[in-house]
Amino acid sequence: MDKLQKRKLLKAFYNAIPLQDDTRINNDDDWKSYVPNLHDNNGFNPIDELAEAIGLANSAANYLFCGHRGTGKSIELKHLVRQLNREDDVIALYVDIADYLDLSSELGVGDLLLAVMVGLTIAVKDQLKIDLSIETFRERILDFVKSEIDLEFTANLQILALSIGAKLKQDQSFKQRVQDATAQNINGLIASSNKFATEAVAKIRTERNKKDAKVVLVVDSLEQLYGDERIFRSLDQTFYTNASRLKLTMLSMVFSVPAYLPFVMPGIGALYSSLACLPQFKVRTREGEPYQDGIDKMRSVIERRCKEWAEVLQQSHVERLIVASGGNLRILIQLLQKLTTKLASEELPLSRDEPVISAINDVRNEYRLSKQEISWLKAIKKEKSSSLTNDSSDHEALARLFNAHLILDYRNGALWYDTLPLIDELLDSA
Amino acid sequence: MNSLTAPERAAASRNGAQPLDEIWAELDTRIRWSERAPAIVLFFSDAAASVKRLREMTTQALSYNTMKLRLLQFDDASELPQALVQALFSAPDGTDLAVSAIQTWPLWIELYNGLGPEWDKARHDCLRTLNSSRNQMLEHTSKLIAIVLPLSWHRRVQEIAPDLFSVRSMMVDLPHEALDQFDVSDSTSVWQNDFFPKYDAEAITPSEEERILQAEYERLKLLGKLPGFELAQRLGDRIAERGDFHAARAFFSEVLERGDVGLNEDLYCLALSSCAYLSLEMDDLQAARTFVEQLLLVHKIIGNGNSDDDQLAIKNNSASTLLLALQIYQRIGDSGKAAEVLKESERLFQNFPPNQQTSRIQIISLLLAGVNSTFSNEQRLRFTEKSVLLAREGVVLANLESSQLLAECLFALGNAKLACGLASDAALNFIESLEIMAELDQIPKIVAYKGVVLATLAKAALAIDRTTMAAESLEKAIDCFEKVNAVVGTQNRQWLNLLQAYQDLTRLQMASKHYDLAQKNCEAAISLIATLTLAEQKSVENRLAEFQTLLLTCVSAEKRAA
Repeated sequence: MDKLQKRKLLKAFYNAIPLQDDTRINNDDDWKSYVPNLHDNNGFNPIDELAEAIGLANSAANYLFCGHRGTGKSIELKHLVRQLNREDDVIALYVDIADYLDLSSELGVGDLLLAVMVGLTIAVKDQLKIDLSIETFRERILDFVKSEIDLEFTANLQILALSIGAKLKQDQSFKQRVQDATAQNINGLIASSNKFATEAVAKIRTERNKKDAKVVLVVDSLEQLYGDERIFRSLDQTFYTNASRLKLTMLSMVFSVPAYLPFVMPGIGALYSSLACLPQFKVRTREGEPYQDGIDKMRSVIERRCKEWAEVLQQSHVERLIVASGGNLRILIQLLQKLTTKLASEELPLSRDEPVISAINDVRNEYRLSKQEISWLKAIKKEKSSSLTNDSSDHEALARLFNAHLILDYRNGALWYDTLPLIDELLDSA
Repeated sequence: MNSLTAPERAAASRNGAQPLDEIWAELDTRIRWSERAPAIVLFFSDAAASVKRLREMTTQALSYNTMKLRLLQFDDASELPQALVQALFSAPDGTDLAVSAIQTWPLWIELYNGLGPEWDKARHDCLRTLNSSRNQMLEHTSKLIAIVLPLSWHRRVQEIAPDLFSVRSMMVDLPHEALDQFDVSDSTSVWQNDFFPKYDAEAITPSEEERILQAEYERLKLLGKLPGFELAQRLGDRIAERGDFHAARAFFSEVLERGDVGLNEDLYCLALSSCAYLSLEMDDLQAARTFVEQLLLVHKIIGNGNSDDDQLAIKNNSASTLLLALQIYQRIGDSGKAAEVLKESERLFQNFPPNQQTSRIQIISLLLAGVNSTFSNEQRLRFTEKSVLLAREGVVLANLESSQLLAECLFALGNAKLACGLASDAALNFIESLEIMAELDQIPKIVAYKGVVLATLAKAALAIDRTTMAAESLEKAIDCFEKVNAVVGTQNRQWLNLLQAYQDLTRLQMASKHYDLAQKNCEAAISLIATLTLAEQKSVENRLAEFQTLLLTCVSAEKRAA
């Protein structure tokens, strides 16, 4: 291989494993890059489990779905919608709630429900080509916020919904006023949302000629909620304390929530019909031994993105990085990209270990940990469980460790936790 | 389990900041390789010198790229994060991102300066903004997003901006002690002395390519042969790309000297024009003048090619040379010579075949460029009018293009009244041309152009308070853009111009208290936004909010009036 060919190969490999576009699946062609059953573990698949729970339910219910950043939650949720829509008795819709809510400020039941109703209206129009009644929307939803929103002049429901969504997302004072207004009469808003959703479900069933179909709304991106303690508390209030208030009579909902929620609120699963977690690829056992099935799955993701990977790296190098990533795809991509930038002057496929070690060291050096965090991480590494502290003021700090992928969740039967193998050196030397 | 063996663990114990050459080697590789998504890199430093050094090297690395590095620095903490948001979602020239011709660029954001709680709060808010605007920011960025923060903020990024942290490509503390010893005030020193990072980053780095080309050139020299055109061009470019304009010019001068006899015409012209361009870059204006005048002479001598294709190529080269000559004469301040060049361009224009639209437009641009130079106002106007007359003789597309250029140029002149009159005349002229050639009015690209020129005309009219004329022009422009949208959908991006026209017209109608008309415009704009894809909708979120506000204002005003 001459130098020019080598440069082209490395550049192609680098661009084949991008860090940022792993959720852009919008049409049938995009689905070709989807790896089915990627998260399957000994016959257990969180998406199948969720689909089954929805299928078996006798009435509308709410479900939680969680997973780390970069594990492919959005793709799997879109896949869930496709899977559910193949059933005769289910009509599923997808809403990216980040389009209608500012996820860097406090969340309330009122503004969440309002955003969900806006999202429902737009999803019904976009995905099912069905127009809901603007009169119903005005009567059920707008009445509760009309003192704050003077948007009654337009006759187009989609524009009205978009306008409310845009204001909720962009205008902090508007969102605050809605929260204040609905706080006065939260039960009224819940009842109205329920009526609106019920009428929407009825219309969908009629239009689709499926009088008993379950209508499911998948609400994605709530896991992006982050920020200070106030936001963390609002999340607790909304999904834990007010779990029952989010339940609607006819409309089932799947909420995508942060991965740390079951870790810091272990009892939350009991408040919903099902809690599905998209764990990391299980690349190691609880005892810390490499788990070949998971390693092979992660390697298949790399293979699908770049067929020529074996011209760049040896299998042992890829597997070493996979183990270091703890089964987190985004960290694996970070390690691979870092390594690729070091290979220009190497013989390919790479024969030496030094560049691999250097890449691992570089990514490890990006983390900074406090004494308290090291102490928690050591405990998690030892105990593999979430029962670290009962002090709720610590939950926010633990959630941050989750967000930084320093605590990873795994599943074989029960959910268990471990630390990112990449930082083992830091924990051992501390 | 541990991912490293014991000896490796010992090797891994290296701590502290990476040397700058290692950091630069990785950054440079990422800049050159990033295609699908920009690399998000986070630097931490308290040393202005090291940040400046790295920024300069990045700027230099991108200077030969069509997408130049965009630098965002802030002096006032109280303006943040609003100033950051405004900068992020405006084009570099200050225009609204949604209507800017430039859509993506590499980004360098400096937030490491400033001490005290006010700055810490500003940095905190900026990081949160960058975190939540991550996807929008990625849409308008290419190659690189670099964010520079104080050293003490390394840990805080993962807390405040977890999404940004999650997709980072690189996150390093910059070394500072050694670097601060160096004087980095002269950016060219980076390229001329030993401070230039030494690294063996990839197979064919520009420096390695230069070395190979140089070796080949020396081999040919030993054999008494001249380099081929491509070798000369690539070697000269490589030397210039690393910033050593002196060495690049010396190389091309040597080619000229060695080729006194029997030098290929193309190579001779390349060497002359390169010497002229490089001299201009080095501000050696007299040398630039000497080289370009030799080049003009060569063009005169070889003015008649054998075939039509040859002639066309010669004319195209002549046009480029004239443009270069014009720049040089303008810099020197020799308006007489510049006027001669413009006359020569007029002559060249007349000789271009009418179907060579691109070349004719190039010459019209050249003439218009002359208008903004050191000429007197009379000369400026004379050349402007001349260019319009020339454009009218040309094909319709050139006519449209020139009208647009003309309008912009007239604004630069500062004579809004005359600008409006001339722009109006020009606009009407090509609209008439379109009416005569009715079939052209069905071509979306031409209709879109008509809309753009009408919108420019409206701008000119507004500048002299001719609001009725402005409103009429905007209405016609809206018709054009709506027609294009109806035929080819929103993927041709004319919806951006349409939104702008709606907005301008709405404001005019509100000023004249025609709230009912303004309301309809707002509704049309909101309906238009509703037809866009989600990504497009996100890119005009601010505009949607503005239309909603305008709409609310109209409704309230109407109610009050009623």
